[in-house]
Amino acid sequence: MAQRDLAGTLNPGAGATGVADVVMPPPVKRGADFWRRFRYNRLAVIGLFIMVAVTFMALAAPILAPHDPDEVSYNILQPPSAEHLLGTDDSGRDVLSRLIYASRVSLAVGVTVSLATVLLGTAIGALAGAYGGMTDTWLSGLINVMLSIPTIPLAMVLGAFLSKDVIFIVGILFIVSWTATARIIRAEFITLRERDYVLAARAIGASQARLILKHMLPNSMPLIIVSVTLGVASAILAESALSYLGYGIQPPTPSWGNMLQNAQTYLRQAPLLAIWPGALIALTVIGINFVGDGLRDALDPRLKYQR
Amino acid sequence: MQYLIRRLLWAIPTLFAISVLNFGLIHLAPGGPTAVYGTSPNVSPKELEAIETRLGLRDPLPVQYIKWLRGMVVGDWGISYKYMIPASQVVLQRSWNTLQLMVVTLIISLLVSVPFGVLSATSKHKSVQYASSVVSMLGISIPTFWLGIMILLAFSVSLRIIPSGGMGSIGKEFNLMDWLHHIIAPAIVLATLRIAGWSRYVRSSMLDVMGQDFVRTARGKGLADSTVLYRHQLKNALIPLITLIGLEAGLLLGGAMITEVVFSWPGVGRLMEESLKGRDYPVLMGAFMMMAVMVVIGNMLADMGYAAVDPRVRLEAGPQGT
Repeated sequence: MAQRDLAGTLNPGAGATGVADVVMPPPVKRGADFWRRFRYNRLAVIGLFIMVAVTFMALAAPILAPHDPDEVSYNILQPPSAEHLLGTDDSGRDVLSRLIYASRVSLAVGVTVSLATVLLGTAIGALAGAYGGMTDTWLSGLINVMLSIPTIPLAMVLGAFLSKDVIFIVGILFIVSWTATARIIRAEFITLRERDYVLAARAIGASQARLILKHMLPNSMPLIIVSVTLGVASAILAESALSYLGYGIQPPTPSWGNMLQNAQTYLRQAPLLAIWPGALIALTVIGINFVGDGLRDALDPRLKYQR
Repeated sequence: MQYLIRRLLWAIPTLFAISVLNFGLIHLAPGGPTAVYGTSPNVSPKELEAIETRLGLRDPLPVQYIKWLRGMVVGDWGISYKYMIPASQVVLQRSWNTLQLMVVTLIISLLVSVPFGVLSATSKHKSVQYASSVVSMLGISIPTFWLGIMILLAFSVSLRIIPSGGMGSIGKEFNLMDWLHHIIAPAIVLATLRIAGWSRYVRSSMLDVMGQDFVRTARGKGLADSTVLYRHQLKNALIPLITLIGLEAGLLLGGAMITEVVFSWPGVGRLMEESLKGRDYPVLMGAFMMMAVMVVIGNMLADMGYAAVDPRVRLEAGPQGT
């Protein structure tokens, strides 16, 4: 039995039969196996490439950016030129430099929100799913109430009334988005609760905490990893929407969303101003979503058609 | 029936919690209707107090909450600070505009996503499947507001074939063509996201149904492929879509906000944005509550619709089964 639990822990994607567990290759080879399956998905590889490129852009921003992103000038709304490769915005700032620096904010917010969201979402989802009964009723009630509140309006009101510091924006996005993960993890735990290996562990007297931490949690790792990935994408989208409306990241700090805030006003004079930031958001989010899909397929083939 | 009642009862604590949250949130707010008078030399403290007493701003918070809640229930939502007419009137009128947008969006979404999903599930060509997954990925990845701006850029600024916003041409009587002309772009933008999600959904549920016994039986007894497809597969595959439509209807009434802002569509979402900017709290609270109520109703309708077509659901216990 111990052998089987160990195998199940090390190997979340394994089949339910004991035989499969015993003949599974050692962990090192499993990584290679994962990479082989991931690489097979062409879109996921493209996504990974995009993610690496955007991350590099964010990390190397001071080297890559040709100008100071906050430097204003009288040359407003310039078309692209050798000096300003993508032109200037309505305050005469270099658009390319702002785009590059904005990737820092957008990625940092996306990753932080997603990690925090999945942490809380997993904790709550796991408790609700593993314990059931009254715990589940209350936690699900909380989740349902949160889900009934329109996300963007709530975030807007919070953004308007509280501080507009970046850390608050992260907090606000976190508050409005943890429910999605909680729901997914809860559903997963409800299924896992009835699995043979969990029932067996319970039968030999494992505590509830042990069941959750040693048996159910490791087996939902693929789902959690995928949730983190896809969570980054949706957090970036939410941040950009909030910043576009003027309740997110505040200028002069550039974010892709707030760069679009004034762009609509100058749609006629400087259409490119509206195109670039949105295109970068779309590209980044597509890349992350492709990677998320690829991870899901590669980590756990059973999850293939679920979303 | 029992399921129905349980579902209805579940909505009550939900709405209560939302109302407390809504009220609490708005009272975190700085400023308020009389803040502008606070520093004005023309308004004496006495007059200020009189105004605040008349508007009920001097009562303790719980009293204000009870008053407000009672008002919400009986339809007295307070007077809009900006329009000086009942907030309920403002919100209801704007909700009607949002409702129009929602209906058109849902029609477009269904008309596109169902054939699209069926096609990608039944097609034997790899390229069709590939294309459909890329298209739906684009749909969920492109920021809605940016898609809206791009459509405005292409069709309004460059080609000049759609108006840049609003519900109708100014100074003109309502006519159907004009209305369609204005509603089409925001509806398409809103529909894009649903199309991306729903066609994936239709596709996977078609694939699910395809492998089931009754489909094999239907084929086995010699029915034509098209009969099996439409009578057996599609009908069963679309059942889960009912839930999605209900959920989306609620979300659209509450969440079409950004699109409404981009296209200056005078719906409840844009109203909320305006009233937040203008600190018109009665309208803000009314609009917020309206959105939340719509989501709750949408969820409820979705569950009920599902229970009506799928008897198994009714046997499930508790609201957490949703």
